[in-house]
Amino acid sequence: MKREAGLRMVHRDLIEVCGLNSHYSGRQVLFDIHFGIPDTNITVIMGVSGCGKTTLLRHMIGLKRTRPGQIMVDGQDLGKFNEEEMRSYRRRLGVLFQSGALFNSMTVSQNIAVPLKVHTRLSDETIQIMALIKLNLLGLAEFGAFMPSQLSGGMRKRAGLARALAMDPEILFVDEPSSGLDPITAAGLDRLILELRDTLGMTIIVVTHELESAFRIADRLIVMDRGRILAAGSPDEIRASQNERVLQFLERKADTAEVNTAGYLSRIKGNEITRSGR
Amino acid sequence: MMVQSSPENGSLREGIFSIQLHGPVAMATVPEIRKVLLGAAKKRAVKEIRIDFSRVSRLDTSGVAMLVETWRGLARRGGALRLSGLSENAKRLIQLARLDQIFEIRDEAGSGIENGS
Repeated sequence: MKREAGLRMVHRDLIEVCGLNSHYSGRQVLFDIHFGIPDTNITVIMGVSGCGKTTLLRHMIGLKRTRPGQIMVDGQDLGKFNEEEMRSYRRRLGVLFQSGALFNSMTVSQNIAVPLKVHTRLSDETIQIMALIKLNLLGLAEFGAFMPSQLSGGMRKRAGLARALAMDPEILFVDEPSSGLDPITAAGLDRLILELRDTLGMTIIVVTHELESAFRIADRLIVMDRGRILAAGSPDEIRASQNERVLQFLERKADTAEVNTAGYLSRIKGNEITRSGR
Repeated sequence: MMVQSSPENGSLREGIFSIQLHGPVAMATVPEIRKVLLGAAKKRAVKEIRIDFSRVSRLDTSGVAMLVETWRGLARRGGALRLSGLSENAKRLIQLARLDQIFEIRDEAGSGIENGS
């Protein structure tokens, strides 16, 4: 981020997705995706379940192979990273997976300490204090000695975020932060995500289908549908969208199911499935 | 790794150990800076440590944790840790960790560091 004359803050794109296509078992799930992630901003990628947003996230964090030229990080081609470059990139990232992904055989504090012990030369005492600072940030200062199984779903999610923050990442990816949380805990997590941007200047990418949360935290929103980007812009620009599918998503209108009655009945009857019923 | 703070930078006068840190105070540099600060905090003659952050480019959580360790070493003997010249971001990080309640923070850069006042 740099400050131009007149105090306007200009954000550069830390990550650029340029024409990303993705496949699972030969089936295409992402189609020619283009967008940029501005630094020190919160970018929210939203869309209904199965629209491809988690696949997109997996590409951006290097968990799914990306072809050269399709994702650039700081102008460097992610698809051409060698092992060392990928390790170095991942050290800049914090990732909170939907499940929280904590080690069940370790206490919450030990979970947070893992990346610090692996990647730094910090003393055990420094690491212990860092873990306590992160836990306090997430309202879990009293729970460092607990095992993950002793925590509620919301607390596990917060503990997962504490671990994602262990290395003071420059870029934080969060997959469905609000899923399975009560509204108060979800709002608290949103507030924390905003604080991380404001206090630590983190670049944050959140994947969610929760509308309220998305509009509460986003500087920029990307709406996906069936592997494509339907709309991208500020929350106000997305609210003003006239795209039918965007409106349907924002107004939470159910899809009119395309039911193949003939195929269904054929299966019920145990008949050989016709070509049209597949 | 570049550590720009060294024991030579610190000075002890009338029970006050003063040091000015330079560059990033972050995971790569904290192990070396920590040796200097904890070494000073252990000395009986040191009643107070003053750290000038006005030339620090970045403070991360490992740096804050190191300050807690230093404070612990001093507090056992009734000593104090005084910080000055912190950037707004560094101050916010310390506030977010609620440690502004235990560190003594002065706004003006270098205040009390050079002249021992």
